Amino acid sequence: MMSEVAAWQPGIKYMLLESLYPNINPYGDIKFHDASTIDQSTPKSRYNDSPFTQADLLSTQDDQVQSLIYQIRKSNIISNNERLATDLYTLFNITKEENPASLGISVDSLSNFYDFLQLYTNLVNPILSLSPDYNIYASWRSKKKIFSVHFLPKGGTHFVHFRPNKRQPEHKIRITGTCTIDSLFDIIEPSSLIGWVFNEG
Amino acid sequence: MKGDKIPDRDNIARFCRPWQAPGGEIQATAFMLRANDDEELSVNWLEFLKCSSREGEIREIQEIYSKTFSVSKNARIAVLNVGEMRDIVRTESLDNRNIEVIHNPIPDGDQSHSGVYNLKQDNELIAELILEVVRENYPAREK
Repeated sequence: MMSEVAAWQPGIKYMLLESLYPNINPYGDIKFHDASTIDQSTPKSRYNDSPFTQADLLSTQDDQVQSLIYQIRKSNIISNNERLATDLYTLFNITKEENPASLGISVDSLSNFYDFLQLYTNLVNPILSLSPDYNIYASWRSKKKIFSVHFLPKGGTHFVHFRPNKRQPEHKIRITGTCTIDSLFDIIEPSSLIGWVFNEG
Repeated sequence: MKGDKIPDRDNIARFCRPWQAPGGEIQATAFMLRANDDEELSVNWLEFLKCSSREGEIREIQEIYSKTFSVSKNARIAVLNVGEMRDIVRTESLDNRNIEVIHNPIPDGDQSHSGVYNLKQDNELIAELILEVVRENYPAREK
């Protein structure tokens, strides 16, 4: 089990869920639009008949979070991997310390962040914090510039970018938007981020 | 009184959880609402406490927190001016958002409790604007 969890990828999590909870459809309940004999009333919670408790589910999610952090720590391609893993463990531990029943870190948001780190391997270490819903929020700051990314649990990001306006210094340029992790730097010119979001060279 | 708008000249304190202020540095996540849930961002009205100094206000707030919930040693307090906060959000947000800070005392509890209203969930831009005008940062736990 541990070796399977250590090989964690977003697609694999559904296969593991199916083997752990054979009576549950991990892909959600499917509605049939043209079969009048099928009961399409609101389905019961998928966990009602499960012998497993919410505590078990939380324990599984905690394992998944820690496994992802482990993957980051062991990565050969992610820059600052040790520091990132330490920061993530710290965030996870301090949320659990305050409330052991909390998510700690949203595993889906962390998975999204992990995919991002694998795409962009030359990043300066961001400041990591958690949203009120325990999603990863990464911020890079330099003088009067900010680049912050909220890694959403359903994939995608919300981002914010502030920088000085060279043409009218009394005003700042403020940009915000929504996009997938692989298009973030199609929107914000990477050359403007070198030295403070991306490492030089 | 409950329901009163807090004047722009006054100041508020926002409790920041340790994961919203890593290393003691307050982040924009301290000014975000939870999805599906929150209508107001909880804050404390400092002038309501009628202390003679900021230090006195902070001590009062720390005591309120310690009586209300468990305060981690790494939690922080962000102090903001109401007018500055409202101005930057109104002038710099995409929809010229007019946020309000309303006195909302808790019955038999924290009488300085207030709320910032007209925020929306997942509004990272406004949270970053508010962060920009944080004036002071204190430990949330009494020594």
